[in-house]
Amino acid sequence: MRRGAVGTCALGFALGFALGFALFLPGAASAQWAGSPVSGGMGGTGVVWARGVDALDFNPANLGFSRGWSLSLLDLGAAGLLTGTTMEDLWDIATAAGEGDRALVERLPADGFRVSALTEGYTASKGAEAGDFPSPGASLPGFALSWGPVGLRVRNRVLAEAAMSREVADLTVSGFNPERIREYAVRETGFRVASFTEMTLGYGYTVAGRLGVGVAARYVQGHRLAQGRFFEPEIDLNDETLRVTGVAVEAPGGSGWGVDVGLALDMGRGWAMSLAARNIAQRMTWDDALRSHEATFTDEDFDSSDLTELLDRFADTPLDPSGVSLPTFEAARGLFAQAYFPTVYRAGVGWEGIHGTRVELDASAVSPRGRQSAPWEQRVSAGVEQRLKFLVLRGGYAFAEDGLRALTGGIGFRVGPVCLDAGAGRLSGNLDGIAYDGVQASVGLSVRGGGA
Amino acid sequence: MPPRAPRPTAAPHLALVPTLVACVGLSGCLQSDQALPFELEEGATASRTIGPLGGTISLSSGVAIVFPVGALKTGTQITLTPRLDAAFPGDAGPIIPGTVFDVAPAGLQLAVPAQVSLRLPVKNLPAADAVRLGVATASAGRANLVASGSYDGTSGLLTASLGTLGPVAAVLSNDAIPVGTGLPPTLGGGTFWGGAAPVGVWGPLLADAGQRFEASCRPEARRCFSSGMVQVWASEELLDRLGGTLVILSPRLEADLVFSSMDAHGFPTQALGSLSLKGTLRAQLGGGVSSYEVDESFRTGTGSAAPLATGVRFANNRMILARTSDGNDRTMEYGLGPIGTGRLLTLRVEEEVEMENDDGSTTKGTVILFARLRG
Repeated sequence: MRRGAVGTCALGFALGFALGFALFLPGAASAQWAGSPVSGGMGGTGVVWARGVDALDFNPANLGFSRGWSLSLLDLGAAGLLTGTTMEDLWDIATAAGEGDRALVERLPADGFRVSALTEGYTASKGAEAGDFPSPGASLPGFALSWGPVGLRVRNRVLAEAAMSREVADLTVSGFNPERIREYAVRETGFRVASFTEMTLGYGYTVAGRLGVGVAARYVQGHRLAQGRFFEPEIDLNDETLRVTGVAVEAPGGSGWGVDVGLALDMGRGWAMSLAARNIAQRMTWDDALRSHEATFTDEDFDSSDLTELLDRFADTPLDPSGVSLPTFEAARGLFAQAYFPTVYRAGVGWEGIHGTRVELDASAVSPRGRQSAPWEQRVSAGVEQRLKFLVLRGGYAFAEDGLRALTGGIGFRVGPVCLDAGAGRLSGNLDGIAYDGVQASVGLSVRGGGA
Repeated sequence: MPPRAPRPTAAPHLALVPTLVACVGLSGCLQSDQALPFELEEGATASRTIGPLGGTISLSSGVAIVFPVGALKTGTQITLTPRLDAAFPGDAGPIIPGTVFDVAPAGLQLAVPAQVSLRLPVKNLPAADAVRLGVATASAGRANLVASGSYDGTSGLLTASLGTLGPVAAVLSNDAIPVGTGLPPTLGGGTFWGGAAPVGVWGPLLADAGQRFEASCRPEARRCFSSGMVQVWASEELLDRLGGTLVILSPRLEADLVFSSMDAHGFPTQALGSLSLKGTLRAQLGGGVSSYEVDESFRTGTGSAAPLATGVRFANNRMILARTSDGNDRTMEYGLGPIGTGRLLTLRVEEEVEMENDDGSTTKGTVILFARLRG
């Protein structure tokens, strides 16, 4: 009898495909730090000094202190956080094509690495459509408008997470080696994406000119909540074949609402303090007419198809609860677990000098329930801003839970009513020997008038 | 920038109090988790009609059966029910709790095997036991392991083929022979008749012409694991590739060998019979368990479905059968020894496995099986 163990590079391609599917998420390509590029340059602060449309992101009470009007024309950004690897290493892993340096894998933790991203949804959707990848579904661009104490913001967001096992990373770096067949494992390689549009209407008013009180109501239109995973390859040692099953389960829509409240106190002599709660009350209900995307690939598929063709195999079908495979059940496990927004409490104190200097120190805490938030939401942030005629310079620093830190900077230009702001930062840190690495960058274009 | 001009209105603290009260009140509106649409209650039953085009039936509590095209000749109502009270026969091995389901109509034979999947509690299963996991079906008060399948150790999904419907359960098979590491002992040969010098360690033994040696063990009767009729080793190359945790699951040995004439030195000159040794080699590969079907069979003579008498000769501890069913001579290491009032003939059967290497070359590994026949 002459039979072989698995041959060809099929397994490597299969697991490499898992890597590709997990990482070619629309959310991983572009993201947004938290609110505006102003905040992005100031370490994520904003609960004290955000004004106009920016106040809707942090503290509606600040609308009570806002003057004139502002219109946000462009608000784009990107933020991604890697846990367990660095951006340089990730790039090298993704481009290794089986001929990379094995030291890349040796630097990974035993559990592999994770990617978390918070994105602006409209551009992410357009980017995904252009690349022929699954779109997060935001079809209209966001905008924001404030007029005195009233503000309205429509924002598209995509939250994405992906995880990849060390073994899959090893495959992409070193390529498939049949002599190491017993080392390969998909393990927890998978992803989760939530995309939605938020329409927030806020109002703030002042009491005695020094205390601002604000409230904002938000309608949330959910576009897609999806999670997927790959299963361990089924290797037929007799026929020299393998099968890899990938399954994603998707809630094709949803709706919800949220309420924000805030207080802001002008303490005089340039000092101010604020307290705000985002989603102090909220509800999010996803459509339970789930759809499943399941595809099983054989080694022949991987030899003859490219990534886009393989993704096309994930045609969605309605999920019939009495007729789905166990992998589909497994992929759906936890889909709705805490699939809503946590309450985020923010408190801050700030000082504004007469020469265009602003300083702010914020702390934010995230309620333990609700997973639709970025991992850096719970943090202490410090930011400084200096206006120099038409130029605004910003800097900031933040440290979040679990050892995550961010160093940020930003710049703004004021030409008449037109404001162009950009902010960027580097996320880093270390927890129990596992490193973080990430970046955030955002740019915004707005028009302001009437003393705003 | 905060406005500098104060507005004449109420004192700030009067607005602060109701705002804080509202905050506290609203924060009581905590959302509970939304339920998945298929989170069925314990004991729920699934039932659907599946026709010749195939289909899937499942219970979220941990079972799914995929019927391929042609498995059912006509539309048939298939029902899945968790078995909570009635016992499942334990003779195939310890049952994994929560994995017993009734699949009705019981006894229905499928034209094409369906694929049954069971979800196992991964955290409660020692990793070393994964290679012994299998799907058992119950029939007439007995449980038997069905054909080999795969196990995903990450998600706990155990999958196997199912040819006949009926109660199913995940079991830790007790009919699994561990594959030995290291080298198997060298068999000592031996004479069949007392006239010649001994070759084996047991000394000369007498066997009359017409002596019959036979062995039979199989999952549904006397099992090979408990009978000791089968022993397995793997060569170093195979162990390097597949790891050290290997078993042969549900081995099946059927052997019958008659030596019909002897020469002057006590060795048979003619043999008639067959040997069939089958089983599933299970190996833990990465996060899952994969199977390799071992099937080593031969019969004496060629050109016929039944064994034909063929010549046999001996060289030291090797028995050489001329013209076996694969068209070639077959050389086997053998050992002959006493057992009780009879004799035990041990034959070394090998199955070669060719494995591809990174550079395109191949490495040959060997599964070595000892089959013990009583005479």
